[in-house]
Amino acid sequence: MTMLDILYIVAAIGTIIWIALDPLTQPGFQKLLFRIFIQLYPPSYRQEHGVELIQIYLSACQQAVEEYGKLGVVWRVIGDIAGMSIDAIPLRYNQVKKAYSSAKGKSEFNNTLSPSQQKTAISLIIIGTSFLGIVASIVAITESVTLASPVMRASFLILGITMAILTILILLWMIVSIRNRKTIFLDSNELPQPDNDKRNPGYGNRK
Amino acid sequence: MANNTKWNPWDELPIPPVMLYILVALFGRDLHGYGIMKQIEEDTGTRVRTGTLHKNLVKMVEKGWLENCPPPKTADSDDQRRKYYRVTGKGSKVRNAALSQMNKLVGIAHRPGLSKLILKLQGVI
Repeated sequence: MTMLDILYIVAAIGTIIWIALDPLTQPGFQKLLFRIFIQLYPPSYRQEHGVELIQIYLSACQQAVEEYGKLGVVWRVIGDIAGMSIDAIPLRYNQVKKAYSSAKGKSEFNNTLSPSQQKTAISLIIIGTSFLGIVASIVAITESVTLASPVMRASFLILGITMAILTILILLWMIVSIRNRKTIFLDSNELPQPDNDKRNPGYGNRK
Repeated sequence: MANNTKWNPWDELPIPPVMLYILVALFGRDLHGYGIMKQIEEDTGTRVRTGTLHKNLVKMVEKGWLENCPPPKTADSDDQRRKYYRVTGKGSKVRNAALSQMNKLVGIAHRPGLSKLILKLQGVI
């Protein structure tokens, strides 16, 4: 491979990344990303502050696009999303702590997923873990019989599968959560009355 | 009432820089979240992340340093739907205390040895 080939590859990858980043300048896509990552916050926090958070975030993104273009908004979105992920940790921790100290908190914690979704999630975790165990056993048995590993770097394979399963589980959980809670992306004056939210009664009363 | 008389703004110090920026940004005016963010950027050159700003706003409302208020009449229709913030009396006292402390620090920075060190760090001398 010559230096020129490497240059072509770098240029091609750069162009693809540049084109792929284009949707980030669109408010719809920025909103979608925010919608996914806001699921990291506890439901009560989302219900109370989701509308305001998205207003600030979208205005900031718009400003970044106007001032710095595509790279500015990429930087803004990445920074905001990374910050949200970090900020959500203590809030989630407090939610779990509250769940063990009050009946209201317990109901909120349990309502994050419906009973059928909880069963599905547990089944997926069991299937995933069993699958990993089976793959690890096959690799170990083959290795002991043939005195050579059937795959290069078996530990990396297991780690890769674990990461893939975890990623799929997190994505599934996020998709399910988004489907359950669309209200935060409406304007505050369009929010439904508290009684309309049958899955999580009482959230609408927090003011 | 007894708690109010005992409360001392100096006990709240030191406060995180973002909180001080917010209190200064809201000096003499009511602003919405994004307005505060822009004002901080203008005042200090610091770009605050959405989550960080909002987390601090919520904390400050809980502490009673800020309160929500109706949008000003001059705000456009888009801004009318936003949540506006105003500094309370308690918040003003904390801001003044924090600024006094900072002023004192600036005074200390003028001490002969220290000012020389600062100038050296800045590459002036």
